Amino acid sequence: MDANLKNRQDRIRLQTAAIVLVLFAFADVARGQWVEIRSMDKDQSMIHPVSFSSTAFSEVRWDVHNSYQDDVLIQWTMDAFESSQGSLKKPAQADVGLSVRLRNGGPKNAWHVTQATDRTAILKGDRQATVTAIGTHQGDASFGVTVAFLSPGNSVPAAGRYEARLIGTIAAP
Amino acid sequence: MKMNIKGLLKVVSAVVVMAGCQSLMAQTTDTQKFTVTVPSALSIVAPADQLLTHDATNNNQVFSPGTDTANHWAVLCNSGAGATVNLTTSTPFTHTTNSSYKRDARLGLAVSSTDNNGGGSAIWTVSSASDQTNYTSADNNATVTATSSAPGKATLALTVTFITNTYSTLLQGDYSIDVVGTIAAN
Repeated sequence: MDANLKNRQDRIRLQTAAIVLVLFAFADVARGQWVEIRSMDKDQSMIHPVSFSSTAFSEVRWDVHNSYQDDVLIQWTMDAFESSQGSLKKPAQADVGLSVRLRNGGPKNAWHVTQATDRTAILKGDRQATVTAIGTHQGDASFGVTVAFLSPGNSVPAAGRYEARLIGTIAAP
Repeated sequence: MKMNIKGLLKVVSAVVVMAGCQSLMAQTTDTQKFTVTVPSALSIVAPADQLLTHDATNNNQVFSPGTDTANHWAVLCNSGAGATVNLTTSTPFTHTTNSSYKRDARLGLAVSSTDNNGGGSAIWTVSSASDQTNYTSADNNATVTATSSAPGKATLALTVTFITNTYSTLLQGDYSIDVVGTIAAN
């Protein structure tokens, strides 16, 4: 086999591999089927008013996309607030209150909130709050999520810096 | 189609980048951080000054705080170890223009409202509920105390009593004491 023929065969193999890779990478997109969830606002922070045990952040926006015909599940979860520093020897905790509402679901009535509110209950061992929604058709939607900081026992929270992370997940069928 | 190895590598690289973009387009999870800063707080607020007119008997005269917590001492501390509150008078009731005329003062303290720890236990409790001056024995101080062992706020109802003894020996006029409240983190 001469060198020219070998080079030609190598080129054909590489071209084939590239085409397969393209088809694989964009198969779902090519069919128009993917799901997506995005937090549209930056990370949030606030100074607690102290004299009140509970306080809430302003509503934040989360956008979702569904290209599947079947139902997709959207879920937001958040663990209890925990202090990274403060006046206690061990980290202080505070309960999380979560609520979600549909801000804009498009024209097809394709999106529904299935669990609008939840909260943690640290004193009862429940350390995670979850709210959910579903999408039943293709389309885009915008949800509003409100996060509240709730002191255990409705007492004044211990001084410190508390953090918690809201995790949004969308699952295709 | 003519393409050398270098060209093909460019194509493959482009595909990898585009595949990465595609995975960003199909993002199935996202996160957002929420931060709450709780400042240190330590405060005590006295109710308005109190005034009564003696009923002209030998009965003791009582400044009652009533049930409205707006007329009580308000305390707050969010230190992890709690705080201690002292309410003190350093004099008996003393005539405002003739200090040789005095009557003893009695202090009584109760917690009228308090945060709880979530399990039903009060965060603030009274550790010294009653005390009075005894000026004839050179005891001019009276102190009552409340404490907490966790962050929380409370209202404290302070009852102040004017010990009359014999009314007929009272010089007419005004008798007063100053109650001083202090709070300190434990």
